[in-house]
Amino acid sequence: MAEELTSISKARASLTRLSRAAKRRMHRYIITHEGLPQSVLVGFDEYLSMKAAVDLMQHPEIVADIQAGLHELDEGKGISPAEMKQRVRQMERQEETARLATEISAASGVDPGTVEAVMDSLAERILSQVESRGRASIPGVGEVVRYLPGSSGRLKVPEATEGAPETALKTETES
Amino acid sequence: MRSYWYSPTAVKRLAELHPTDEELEAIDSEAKMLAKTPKTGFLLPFDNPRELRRYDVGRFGLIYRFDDKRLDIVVVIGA
Repeated sequence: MAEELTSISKARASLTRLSRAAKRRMHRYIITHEGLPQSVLVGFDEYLSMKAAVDLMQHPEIVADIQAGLHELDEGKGISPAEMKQRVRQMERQEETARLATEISAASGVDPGTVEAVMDSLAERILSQVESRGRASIPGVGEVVRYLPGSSGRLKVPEATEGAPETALKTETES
Repeated sequence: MRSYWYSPTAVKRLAELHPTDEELEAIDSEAKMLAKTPKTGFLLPFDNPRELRRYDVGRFGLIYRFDDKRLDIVVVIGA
């Protein structure tokens, strides 16, 4: 990595060469105008690295995360791609459960731990029904059919008809 | 080809960013591509025995390291 002063007139005459050298050899050219430094020509990758360095300095939590991640990997705790996807969804569910439990707890006065336990138990029952029968009954909502591959995955609630509270929910591709 | 792995911290941070199914697939697909061509990302100035690089996939930044046999996604941040 070299650093070189070059006048703006010389730089203009050989900009293609300087730009290539900045990219390939990580050379830096300090462009001068009337003998004074005015700007710097650096390779794009190096510019991104510099920007990232500033980012890292401003976000100590990212630096801490990097150190934690490196430590975990050195300890052999790497997670495979397939497991990564499962864990991401599992963590999202846990976060959502905790958030809902806090809301319900605040509205009902029941402690969040009890609410969360009830929600966990209900979710397990629903998942187990979907697993074994391909459909599940959600109290207060009705019956939900299994997610269909190729559909958007969003469940659609049909118009409720009077006297028929237990209505089957269908995926968008079915309707 | 190198195998590729995610650190538990990377997975945790990724979950916090709530990726859609499509984004999750895109991240994993790019991680697979990085395992083949690991120098695609730009170098991060970080004091570490092995070089760290960053590669952005949509609104996510993958920070990774690699050697001849494997590539590790060290952490995922918001791009």
